[in-house]
Amino acid sequence: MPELRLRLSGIGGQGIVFAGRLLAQALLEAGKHVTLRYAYGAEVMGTPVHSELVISSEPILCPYFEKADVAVVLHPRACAEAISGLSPTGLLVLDSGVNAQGKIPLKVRVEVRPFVALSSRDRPGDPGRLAPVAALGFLAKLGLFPLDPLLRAASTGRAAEENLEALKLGFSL
Amino acid sequence: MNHSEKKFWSGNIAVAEGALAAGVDFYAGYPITPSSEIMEHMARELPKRGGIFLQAEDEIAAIFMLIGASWADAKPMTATSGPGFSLMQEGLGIAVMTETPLLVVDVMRAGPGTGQASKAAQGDLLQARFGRHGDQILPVFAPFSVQDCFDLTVFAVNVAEKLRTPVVLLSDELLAHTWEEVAVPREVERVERRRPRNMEPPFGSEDPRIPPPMPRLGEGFGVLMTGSTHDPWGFRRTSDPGTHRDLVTRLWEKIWRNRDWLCRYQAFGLEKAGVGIVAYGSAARSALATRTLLSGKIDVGVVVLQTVWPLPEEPILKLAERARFILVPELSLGQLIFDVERIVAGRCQVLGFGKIGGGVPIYPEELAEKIAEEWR
Repeated sequence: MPELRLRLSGIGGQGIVFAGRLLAQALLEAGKHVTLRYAYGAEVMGTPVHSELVISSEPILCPYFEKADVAVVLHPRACAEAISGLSPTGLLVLDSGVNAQGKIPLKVRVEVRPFVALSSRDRPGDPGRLAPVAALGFLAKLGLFPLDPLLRAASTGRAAEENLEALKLGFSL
Repeated sequence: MNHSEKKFWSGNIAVAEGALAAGVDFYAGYPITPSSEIMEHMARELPKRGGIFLQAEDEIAAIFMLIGASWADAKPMTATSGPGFSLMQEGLGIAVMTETPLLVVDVMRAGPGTGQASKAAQGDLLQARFGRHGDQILPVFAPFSVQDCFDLTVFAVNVAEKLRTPVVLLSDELLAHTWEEVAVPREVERVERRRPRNMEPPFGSEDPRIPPPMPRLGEGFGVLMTGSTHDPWGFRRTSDPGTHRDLVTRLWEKIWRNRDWLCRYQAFGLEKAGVGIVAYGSAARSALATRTLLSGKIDVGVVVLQTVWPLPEEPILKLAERARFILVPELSLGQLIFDVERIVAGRCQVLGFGKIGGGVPIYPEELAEKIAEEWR
Protein backbone atom coordinates (compact mmCIF):
# COMPACT_ATOMS: atom_id res chain seq x y z
CA MET A 1 0.00 0.00 0.00
CA PRO A 2 1.48 3.42 -0.93
CA GLU A 3 1.31 6.13 1.72
CA LEU A 4 -2.27 7.34 2.17
CA ARG A 5 -3.07 10.72 3.66
CA LEU A 6 -6.59 10.90 5.01
CA ARG A 7 -8.40 13.81 6.64
CA LEU A 8 -11.71 13.28 8.46
CA SER A 9 -13.54 16.56 9.08
CA GLY A 10 -16.62 17.48 11.02
CA ILE A 11 -17.47 19.48 14.10
CA GLY A 12 -16.81 19.00 17.80
CA GLY A 13 -19.20 16.44 19.26
CA GLN A 14 -19.50 14.32 16.12
CA GLY A 15 -16.80 11.82 17.09
CA ILE A 16 -14.17 12.79 14.51
CA VAL A 17 -11.33 12.17 16.98
CA PHE A 18 -12.81 8.83 18.03
CA ALA A 19 -13.10 7.69 14.42
CA GLY A 20 -9.46 8.64 13.78
CA ARG A 21 -8.33 6.61 16.77
CA LEU A 22 -10.51 3.66 15.78
CA LEU A 23 -9.06 3.55 12.29
CA ALA A 24 -5.51 4.01 13.54
CA GLN A 25 -5.90 1.21 16.06
CA ALA A 26 -7.43 -1.10 13.45
CA LEU A 27 -4.69 -0.57 10.89
CA LEU A 28 -1.87 -0.80 13.43
CA GLU A 29 -3.21 -4.19 14.43
CA ALA A 30 -3.30 -5.09 10.74
CA GLY A 31 0.43 -4.40 10.58
CA LYS A 32 0.39 -0.93 9.00
CA HIS A 33 2.34 2.09 10.09
CA VAL A 34 -0.05 4.84 11.16
CA THR A 35 0.19 8.34 12.55
CA LEU A 36 -2.79 10.33 13.73
CA ARG A 37 -3.04 13.99 14.48
CA TYR A 38 -6.18 15.79 15.48
CA ALA A 39 -6.92 19.47 15.47
CA TYR A 40 -9.82 21.24 17.09
CA GLY A 41 -10.98 24.65 18.21
CA ALA A 42 -11.02 26.16 21.69
CA GLU A 43 -14.78 25.63 21.97
CA VAL A 44 -16.14 22.43 23.52
CA MET A 45 -18.50 21.66 20.65
CA GLY A 46 -19.56 22.98 17.29
CA THR A 47 -16.35 24.18 15.66
CA PRO A 48 -14.41 22.29 12.97
CA VAL A 49 -12.46 19.23 14.06
CA HIS A 50 -10.08 17.29 11.87
CA SER A 51 -8.44 13.91 12.32
CA GLU A 52 -5.47 13.46 10.01
CA LEU A 53 -3.98 10.04 9.40
CA VAL A 54 -0.97 8.90 7.47
CA ILE A 55 -1.18 5.20 6.65
CA SER A 56 1.74 3.34 5.13
CA SER A 57 3.52 0.03 4.82
CA GLU A 58 6.77 1.84 5.66
CA PRO A 59 7.77 3.85 8.74
CA ILE A 60 6.33 7.36 8.47
CA LEU A 61 8.78 10.23 8.42
CA CYS A 62 6.37 13.10 8.99
CA PRO A 63 2.81 13.00 10.37
CA TYR A 64 2.00 16.51 9.09
CA PHE A 65 0.64 17.10 5.60
CA GLU A 66 -1.07 19.92 3.78
CA LYS A 67 -2.88 18.09 0.99
CA ALA A 68 -4.85 14.95 1.76
CA ASP A 69 -5.38 12.17 -0.78
CA VAL A 70 -8.81 11.55 0.70
CA ALA A 71 -11.04 13.96 2.60
CA VAL A 72 -14.25 13.05 4.39
CA VAL A 73 -16.53 15.97 5.27
CA LEU A 74 -19.43 15.39 7.64
CA HIS A 75 -20.52 18.92 8.45
CA PRO A 76 -20.92 22.08 6.36
CA ARG A 77 -18.82 24.12 8.82
CA ALA A 78 -15.76 21.98 8.13
CA CYS A 79 -16.22 21.97 4.37
CA ALA A 80 -14.12 24.94 3.22
CA GLU A 81 -11.01 23.90 5.22
CA ALA A 82 -11.35 20.30 4.09
CA ILE A 83 -11.65 21.13 0.39
CA SER A 84 -8.74 23.58 0.43
CA GLY A 85 -6.67 20.86 2.07
CA LEU A 86 -7.44 18.21 -0.54
CA SER A 87 -5.14 17.15 -3.35
CA PRO A 88 -6.44 18.48 -6.72
CA THR A 89 -6.81 14.88 -7.86
CA GLY A 90 -8.00 13.50 -4.54
CA LEU A 91 -11.14 11.78 -3.38
CA LEU A 92 -13.80 13.81 -1.57
CA VAL A 93 -16.40 11.90 0.44
CA LEU A 94 -19.24 14.18 1.46
CA ASP A 95 -22.19 13.77 3.71
CA SER A 96 -25.43 14.55 1.86
CA GLY A 97 -26.04 17.45 4.22
CA VAL A 98 -22.92 19.24 2.98
CA ASN A 99 -23.44 21.41 -0.06
CA ALA A 100 -20.08 21.91 -1.75
CA GLN A 101 -21.40 22.76 -5.19
CA GLY A 102 -19.12 25.09 -7.11
CA LYS A 103 -16.27 24.72 -4.60
CA ILE A 104 -14.82 21.41 -5.72
CA PRO A 105 -11.84 21.34 -8.10
CA LEU A 106 -12.62 19.67 -11.44
CA LYS A 107 -10.38 16.63 -11.11
CA VAL A 108 -11.53 15.68 -7.64
CA ARG A 109 -13.60 12.50 -7.48
CA VAL A 110 -16.69 13.04 -5.34
CA GLU A 111 -18.81 10.52 -3.47
CA VAL A 112 -21.89 11.73 -1.57
CA ARG A 113 -23.66 9.53 0.96
CA PRO A 114 -26.20 10.23 3.76
CA PHE A 115 -23.92 9.22 6.65
CA VAL A 116 -25.43 11.58 9.21
CA ALA A 117 -29.08 11.03 8.27
CA LEU A 118 -28.85 7.24 8.14
CA SER A 119 -26.69 6.71 11.19
CA SER A 120 -28.89 8.90 13.38
CA ARG A 121 -32.33 7.98 12.01
CA ASP A 122 -33.41 5.99 15.07
CA ARG A 123 -31.61 8.26 17.51
CA PRO A 124 -33.63 11.42 18.24
CA GLY A 125 -31.43 14.43 18.98
CA ASP A 126 -28.26 12.77 17.72
CA PRO A 127 -26.19 15.21 15.62
CA GLY A 128 -24.59 12.26 13.82
CA ARG A 129 -22.23 10.75 16.35
CA LEU A 130 -21.95 7.54 14.37
CA ALA A 131 -21.51 9.25 11.00
CA PRO A 132 -17.67 9.23 11.13
CA VAL A 133 -17.66 5.50 11.89
CA ALA A 134 -20.15 4.89 9.06
CA ALA A 135 -17.84 6.89 6.77
CA LEU A 136 -14.96 4.57 7.70
CA GLY A 137 -17.13 1.63 6.64
CA PHE A 138 -17.72 3.36 3.32
CA LEU A 139 -13.99 4.01 2.81
CA ALA A 140 -13.41 0.31 3.42
CA LYS A 141 -16.01 -0.47 0.75
CA LEU A 142 -14.08 1.76 -1.66
CA GLY A 143 -11.04 -0.43 -0.96
CA LEU A 144 -8.89 2.12 0.89
CA PHE A 145 -8.35 -0.38 3.69
CA PRO A 146 -9.91 -3.69 4.70
CA LEU A 147 -13.09 -3.81 6.79
CA ASP A 148 -12.14 -6.73 9.03
CA PRO A 149 -9.54 -4.95 11.20
CA LEU A 150 -12.05 -2.13 11.70
CA LEU A 151 -14.70 -4.57 12.82
CA ARG A 152 -12.26 -6.14 15.25
CA ALA A 153 -11.18 -2.77 16.64
CA ALA A 154 -14.80 -1.64 17.00
CA SER A 155 -15.89 -4.79 18.79
CA THR A 156 -14.77 -3.58 22.20
CA GLY A 157 -15.81 -0.61 24.30
CA ARG A 158 -19.06 0.78 25.62
CA ALA A 159 -20.55 1.55 22.21
CA ALA A 160 -19.27 -1.55 20.43
CA GLU A 161 -22.65 -2.63 19.14
CA GLU A 162 -23.52 0.78 17.70
CA ASN A 163 -20.10 1.21 16.13
CA LEU A 164 -20.22 -2.20 14.47
CA GLU A 165 -23.65 -1.39 13.12
CA ALA A 166 -22.40 1.96 11.78
CA LEU A 167 -19.41 0.33 10.08
CA LYS A 168 -21.66 -2.19 8.38
CA LEU A 169 -24.11 0.54 7.38
CA GLY A 170 -21.29 2.56 5.78
CA PHE A 171 -20.01 -0.52 3.98
CA SER A 172 -23.47 -1.08 2.51
CA LEU A 173 -23.83 2.41 1.01
CA MET B 1 17.16 0.85 26.45
CA ASN B 2 15.51 -2.52 26.17
CA HIS B 3 12.44 -1.79 24.07
CA SER B 4 9.86 -4.40 24.77
CA GLU B 5 6.36 -3.15 24.17
CA LYS B 6 4.69 -1.04 21.48
CA LYS B 7 2.10 1.52 22.47
CA PHE B 8 0.05 3.92 20.38
CA TRP B 9 0.24 7.14 22.34
CA SER B 10 -0.17 10.86 21.84
CA GLY B 11 2.75 13.13 22.67
CA ASN B 12 1.00 14.19 25.87
CA ILE B 13 0.45 10.62 27.04
CA ALA B 14 4.04 9.72 26.17
CA VAL B 15 5.29 12.61 28.32
CA ALA B 16 3.15 11.47 31.25
CA GLU B 17 4.25 7.85 30.85
CA GLY B 18 7.90 8.88 30.53
CA ALA B 19 7.61 10.80 33.78
CA LEU B 20 6.03 7.82 35.53
CA ALA B 21 8.71 5.50 34.20
CA ALA B 22 11.41 7.84 35.51
CA GLY B 23 9.87 7.74 38.97
CA VAL B 24 7.81 10.94 39.14
CA ASP B 25 5.56 10.44 42.15
CA PHE B 26 4.04 13.89 42.68
CA TYR B 27 2.00 16.01 40.29
CA ALA B 28 0.36 19.34 40.99
CA GLY B 29 -1.13 21.41 38.23
CA TYR B 30 -3.94 23.43 36.79
CA PRO B 31 -5.52 22.26 33.53
CA ILE B 32 -4.82 24.24 30.39
CA THR B 33 -5.09 23.39 26.70
CA PRO B 34 -3.12 21.85 25.03
CA SER B 35 -1.38 20.24 28.00
CA SER B 36 -4.45 18.94 29.85
CA GLU B 37 -4.15 15.31 28.76
CA ILE B 38 -0.90 15.09 30.73
CA MET B 39 -2.72 16.16 33.87
CA GLU B 40 -5.66 13.87 33.16
CA HIS B 41 -3.33 10.92 32.64
CA MET B 42 -1.43 11.63 35.83
CA ALA B 43 -4.70 12.03 37.76
CA ARG B 44 -5.69 8.53 36.63
CA GLU B 45 -2.32 6.81 36.91
CA LEU B 46 -0.38 8.38 39.79
CA PRO B 47 -2.64 7.30 42.66
CA LYS B 48 -2.65 3.74 41.28
CA ARG B 49 1.14 3.73 41.45
CA GLY B 50 1.37 5.12 44.96
CA GLY B 51 1.96 8.72 43.95
CA ILE B 52 0.17 11.94 44.83
CA PHE B 53 -1.92 14.02 42.45
CA LEU B 54 -3.18 17.47 43.36
CA GLN B 55 -5.22 19.89 41.31
CA ALA B 56 -3.97 23.28 42.44
CA GLU B 57 -6.01 26.48 42.54
CA ASP B 58 -3.72 28.00 39.92
CA GLU B 59 -0.31 27.61 38.34
CA ILE B 60 1.46 29.73 40.97
CA ALA B 61 0.27 27.38 43.69
CA ALA B 62 1.18 24.37 41.56
CA ILE B 63 4.83 25.31 41.07
CA PHE B 64 5.29 26.06 44.76
CA MET B 65 3.64 22.74 45.65
CA LEU B 66 6.29 21.10 43.48
CA ILE B 67 9.06 22.86 45.42
CA GLY B 68 7.62 21.72 48.74
CA ALA B 69 7.09 18.18 47.51
CA SER B 70 10.61 17.96 46.14
CA TRP B 71 12.10 18.94 49.51
CA ALA B 72 9.88 16.30 51.08
CA ASP B 73 11.63 13.75 48.86
CA ALA B 74 9.20 13.52 45.95
CA LYS B 75 10.12 13.59 42.27
CA PRO B 76 7.66 16.26 41.17
CA MET B 77 6.32 17.51 37.88
CA THR B 78 3.67 19.73 36.39
CA ALA B 79 2.49 20.52 32.88
CA THR B 80 1.10 23.73 31.54
CA SER B 81 0.95 25.98 28.52
CA GLY B 82 1.88 29.61 27.75
CA PRO B 83 -0.30 31.59 30.18
CA GLY B 84 0.34 29.10 32.99
CA PHE B 85 4.04 28.93 32.17
CA SER B 86 4.25 32.70 32.60
CA LEU B 87 2.71 32.37 36.07
CA MET B 88 5.25 29.71 37.02
CA GLN B 89 8.32 31.79 36.29
CA GLU B 90 8.63 33.17 39.83
CA GLY B 91 8.53 29.68 41.31
CA LEU B 92 11.02 28.43 38.75
CA GLY B 93 13.41 31.18 39.80
CA ILE B 94 13.07 30.11 43.44
CA ALA B 95 13.67 26.49 42.37
CA VAL B 96 16.88 27.53 40.59
CA MET B 97 18.10 29.44 43.66
CA THR B 98 17.16 26.69 46.13
CA GLU B 99 18.44 23.94 43.79
CA THR B 100 15.15 22.09 43.81
CA PRO B 101 14.76 19.23 41.33
CA LEU B 102 11.47 19.37 39.45
CA LEU B 103 10.08 19.09 35.93
CA VAL B 104 7.87 21.67 34.23
CA VAL B 105 6.39 20.68 30.88
CA ASP B 106 5.32 23.58 28.69
CA VAL B 107 3.15 22.46 25.78
CA MET B 108 3.47 25.52 23.59
CA ARG B 109 0.38 27.12 22.07
CA ALA B 110 -0.08 30.30 20.11
CA GLY B 111 0.37 33.43 22.21
CA PRO B 112 0.91 36.07 23.48
CA GLY B 113 -1.87 36.41 26.01
CA THR B 114 -4.39 33.60 25.80
CA GLY B 115 -3.75 33.55 22.05
CA GLN B 116 -5.11 30.47 20.32
CA ALA B 117 -5.54 27.89 23.04
CA SER B 118 -5.72 24.78 20.91
CA LYS B 119 -3.26 25.78 18.18
CA ALA B 120 0.44 25.02 17.98
CA ALA B 121 3.32 27.47 18.21
CA GLN B 122 6.96 27.56 19.24
CA GLY B 123 6.95 31.01 20.76
CA ASP B 124 8.08 30.12 24.29
CA LEU B 125 11.66 29.15 23.52
CA LEU B 126 13.24 32.33 24.81
CA GLN B 127 10.91 32.43 27.80
CA ALA B 128 11.84 28.88 28.76
CA ARG B 129 15.49 29.91 28.82
CA PHE B 130 15.34 33.43 30.16
CA GLY B 131 11.88 33.86 31.71
CA ARG B 132 13.20 34.31 35.24
CA HIS B 133 14.86 37.44 36.56
CA GLY B 134 18.49 37.45 37.65
CA ASP B 135 21.48 35.49 36.38
CA GLN B 136 20.22 31.97 36.05
CA ILE B 137 20.24 28.95 33.82
CA LEU B 138 18.21 25.78 33.72
CA PRO B 139 18.23 22.95 31.17
CA VAL B 140 15.50 23.03 28.51
CA PHE B 141 14.69 19.97 26.41
CA ALA B 142 12.43 19.68 23.37
CA PRO B 143 11.18 16.35 21.98
CA PHE B 144 10.53 16.00 18.25
CA SER B 145 8.47 12.82 18.06
CA VAL B 146 6.11 10.91 20.31
CA GLN B 147 8.90 8.40 20.99
CA ASP B 148 11.12 11.31 21.95
CA CYS B 149 8.37 12.66 24.23
CA PHE B 150 8.78 9.48 26.26
CA ASP B 151 12.57 9.16 26.07
CA LEU B 152 13.38 12.81 26.64
CA THR B 153 11.01 13.10 29.59
CA VAL B 154 12.87 10.23 31.25
CA PHE B 155 16.14 12.04 30.56
CA ALA B 156 14.76 15.37 31.84
CA VAL B 157 13.60 13.87 35.15
CA ASN B 158 17.01 12.25 35.60
CA VAL B 159 18.83 15.50 34.82
CA ALA B 160 16.74 17.29 37.45
CA GLU B 161 17.81 14.75 40.04
CA LYS B 162 21.42 14.45 38.97
CA LEU B 163 22.08 18.20 38.82
CA ARG B 164 19.58 19.17 41.53
CA THR B 165 17.88 21.67 39.28
CA PRO B 166 14.51 22.51 37.82
CA VAL B 167 14.23 21.49 34.16
CA VAL B 168 11.80 22.46 31.43
CA LEU B 169 10.47 20.19 28.71
CA LEU B 170 9.18 22.20 25.75
CA SER B 171 6.58 20.37 23.74
CA ASP B 172 4.06 21.92 21.37
CA GLU B 173 0.43 21.37 20.46
CA LEU B 174 1.27 19.48 17.28
CA LEU B 175 3.35 16.93 19.16
CA ALA B 176 0.90 16.85 22.04
CA HIS B 177 -1.95 15.76 19.77
CA THR B 178 0.01 13.55 17.41
CA TRP B 179 -0.35 9.83 17.97
CA GLU B 180 2.41 7.42 16.99
CA GLU B 181 3.76 4.07 17.99
CA VAL B 182 6.18 4.20 20.88
CA ALA B 183 8.61 1.46 21.82
CA VAL B 184 8.39 1.38 25.59
CA PRO B 185 11.41 -0.08 27.34
CA ARG B 186 10.94 -2.65 30.03
CA GLU B 187 13.07 -0.57 32.35
CA VAL B 188 14.51 2.92 32.25
CA GLU B 189 17.37 4.44 34.17
CA ARG B 190 16.27 6.20 37.34
CA VAL B 191 18.68 8.67 38.91
CA GLU B 192 18.25 9.24 42.63
CA ARG B 193 19.39 12.48 44.20
CA ARG B 194 22.46 12.44 46.42
CA ARG B 195 21.89 12.66 50.18
CA PRO B 196 24.24 14.42 52.61
CA ARG B 197 26.71 12.36 54.61
CA ASN B 198 28.51 13.63 57.70
CA MET B 199 26.93 17.06 57.73
CA GLU B 200 27.83 18.13 54.22
CA PRO B 201 26.59 21.65 53.45
CA PRO B 202 23.34 21.54 51.45
CA PHE B 203 24.20 24.58 49.33
CA GLY B 204 27.91 24.28 48.71
CA SER B 205 30.12 22.22 46.45
CA GLU B 206 33.82 22.32 45.76
CA ASP B 207 33.39 21.03 42.23
CA PRO B 208 30.85 23.27 40.49
CA ARG B 209 29.90 20.46 38.10
CA ILE B 210 28.59 18.41 41.00
CA PRO B 211 25.59 19.71 42.96
CA PRO B 212 25.57 19.66 46.73
CA PRO B 213 23.67 16.82 48.39
CA MET B 214 20.00 17.47 49.11
CA PRO B 215 18.70 16.67 52.58
CA ARG B 216 15.23 15.26 53.07
CA LEU B 217 13.27 17.73 55.17
CA GLY B 218 12.05 16.42 58.47
CA GLU B 219 14.72 13.79 58.86
CA GLY B 220 16.76 15.36 61.61
CA PHE B 221 18.69 17.71 59.40
CA GLY B 222 17.99 21.37 60.09
CA VAL B 223 17.92 23.15 56.77
CA LEU B 224 17.69 26.84 56.09
CA MET B 225 16.19 27.34 52.68
CA THR B 226 15.79 30.72 51.07
CA GLY B 227 15.45 32.34 47.68
CA SER B 228 17.77 35.08 48.87
CA THR B 229 21.53 34.88 48.51
CA HIS B 230 22.80 32.28 50.95
CA ASP B 231 26.04 30.65 52.00
CA PRO B 232 26.74 26.88 51.75
CA TRP B 233 24.76 26.29 54.96
CA GLY B 234 21.75 28.29 53.83
CA PHE B 235 22.34 31.41 55.93
CA ARG B 236 21.13 34.58 54.22
CA ARG B 237 24.00 36.79 53.07
CA THR B 238 22.16 39.53 51.31
CA SER B 239 24.89 42.17 51.51
CA ASP B 240 28.00 40.08 50.91
CA PRO B 241 29.26 40.42 47.32
CA GLY B 242 31.53 37.38 47.56
CA THR B 243 28.79 35.01 48.68
CA HIS B 244 26.49 36.21 45.93
CA ARG B 245 29.21 35.88 43.30
CA ASP B 246 30.18 32.38 44.46
CA LEU B 247 26.59 31.13 44.65
CA VAL B 248 25.28 32.49 41.37
CA THR B 249 28.46 31.48 39.52
CA ARG B 250 28.24 27.96 40.93
CA LEU B 251 24.56 27.62 39.98
CA TRP B 252 25.42 28.72 36.44
CA GLU B 253 28.44 26.47 36.14
CA LYS B 254 26.54 23.47 37.49
CA ILE B 255 24.61 23.48 34.22
CA TRP B 256 27.07 25.12 31.84
CA ARG B 257 30.02 22.87 32.66
CA ASN B 258 27.92 19.75 32.11
CA ARG B 259 27.06 20.72 28.55
CA ASP B 260 28.97 17.80 27.06
CA TRP B 261 26.37 15.28 28.22
CA LEU B 262 23.38 17.60 28.67
CA CYS B 263 23.33 18.72 25.05
CA ARG B 264 21.44 16.12 23.07
CA TYR B 265 20.77 16.28 19.37
CA GLN B 266 20.39 14.11 16.30
CA ALA B 267 22.33 14.84 13.14
CA PHE B 268 21.57 13.63 9.62
CA GLY B 269 23.80 13.98 6.59
CA LEU B 270 26.15 16.65 7.92
CA GLU B 271 29.17 15.34 6.01
CA LYS B 272 27.77 16.07 2.56
CA ALA B 273 25.39 18.89 3.40
CA GLY B 274 24.99 21.44 0.63
CA VAL B 275 22.19 23.00 2.65
CA GLY B 276 21.51 22.76 6.36
CA ILE B 277 18.37 22.82 8.47
CA VAL B 278 18.46 23.39 12.23
CA ALA B 279 15.16 22.72 13.96
CA TYR B 280 13.51 21.46 17.12
CA GLY B 281 10.12 20.11 18.18
CA SER B 282 7.46 19.42 15.58
CA ALA B 283 9.29 21.57 13.02
CA ALA B 284 12.14 19.04 13.12
CA ARG B 285 9.84 16.30 11.79
CA SER B 286 9.10 18.41 8.75
CA ALA B 287 12.82 19.13 8.37
CA LEU B 288 13.61 15.41 8.25
CA ALA B 289 10.92 14.79 5.64
CA THR B 290 12.28 17.70 3.60
CA ARG B 291 15.66 15.99 3.48
CA THR B 292 14.00 12.94 1.94
CA LEU B 293 11.92 15.04 -0.48
CA LEU B 294 15.06 16.67 -1.87
CA SER B 295 17.12 13.50 -1.89
CA GLY B 296 19.01 13.12 -5.18
CA LYS B 297 18.60 16.84 -5.96
CA ILE B 298 20.12 18.74 -3.05
CA ASP B 299 22.04 17.23 -0.14
CA VAL B 300 20.33 18.50 2.97
CA GLY B 301 21.93 18.07 6.38
CA VAL B 302 19.63 18.31 9.39
CA VAL B 303 20.42 19.02 13.03
CA VAL B 304 17.53 18.17 15.34
CA LEU B 305 18.03 19.90 18.67
CA GLN B 306 16.71 17.93 21.63
CA THR B 307 18.42 20.16 24.17
CA VAL B 308 17.52 23.75 23.40
CA TRP B 309 19.34 25.28 26.35
CA PRO B 310 22.26 25.09 26.66
CA LEU B 311 22.56 24.58 22.92
CA PRO B 312 24.57 21.86 21.19
CA GLU B 313 26.87 24.13 19.17
CA GLU B 314 29.23 21.58 17.62
CA PRO B 315 26.81 20.04 15.06
CA ILE B 316 25.61 23.50 14.00
CA LEU B 317 29.23 24.55 13.44
CA LYS B 318 29.87 21.39 11.46
CA LEU B 319 26.87 22.16 9.29
CA ALA B 320 28.01 25.76 8.82
CA GLU B 321 31.41 24.63 7.59
CA ARG B 322 29.87 22.68 4.71
CA ALA B 323 26.49 24.18 3.85
CA ARG B 324 25.90 27.08 1.49
CA PHE B 325 23.14 28.25 3.82
CA ILE B 326 21.25 27.08 6.88
CA LEU B 327 17.47 27.28 7.15
CA VAL B 328 15.86 27.62 10.58
CA PRO B 329 12.16 26.66 10.45
CA GLU B 330 10.15 27.47 13.55
CA LEU B 331 6.53 28.14 14.47
CA SER B 332 7.35 31.67 15.57
CA LEU B 333 8.55 34.86 13.96
CA GLY B 334 12.10 33.81 14.83
CA GLN B 335 13.66 32.84 18.16
CA LEU B 336 16.00 29.92 17.54
CA ILE B 337 17.48 31.80 14.61
CA PHE B 338 19.20 34.28 16.95
CA ASP B 339 21.30 31.46 18.36
CA VAL B 340 22.02 29.84 15.05
CA GLU B 341 23.23 33.20 13.69
CA ARG B 342 25.44 33.66 16.78
CA ILE B 343 26.94 30.18 16.48
CA VAL B 344 27.40 30.28 12.72
CA ALA B 345 29.00 33.73 13.02
CA GLY B 346 29.13 34.43 9.30
CA ARG B 347 30.50 31.05 8.18
CA CYS B 348 27.45 30.71 5.94
CA GLN B 349 24.13 32.44 5.39
CA VAL B 350 21.36 31.78 7.93
CA LEU B 351 17.76 32.07 6.74
CA GLY B 352 14.67 32.05 8.89
CA PHE B 353 11.44 30.28 8.05
CA GLY B 354 8.88 31.50 10.57
CA LYS B 355 5.23 30.57 10.46
CA ILE B 356 2.54 31.56 12.94
CA GLY B 357 -1.19 31.32 13.43
CA GLY B 358 -3.95 28.77 13.42
CA GLY B 359 -1.76 25.86 14.44
CA VAL B 360 -0.80 25.14 10.84
CA PRO B 361 2.32 22.95 10.76
CA ILE B 362 5.40 23.74 8.73
CA TYR B 363 5.01 21.39 5.78
CA PRO B 364 7.98 19.58 4.20
CA GLU B 365 6.86 20.71 0.74
CA GLU B 366 7.13 24.40 1.62
CA LEU B 367 10.57 23.92 3.17
CA ALA B 368 11.70 22.03 0.07
CA GLU B 369 10.37 24.85 -2.13
CA LYS B 370 12.18 27.48 -0.07
CA ILE B 371 15.44 25.53 -0.23
CA ALA B 372 15.14 24.95 -3.99
CA GLU B 373 14.46 28.66 -4.51
CA GLU B 374 17.49 29.75 -2.46
CA TRP B 375 19.70 27.06 -4.01
CA ARG B 376 19.25 28.44 -7.54
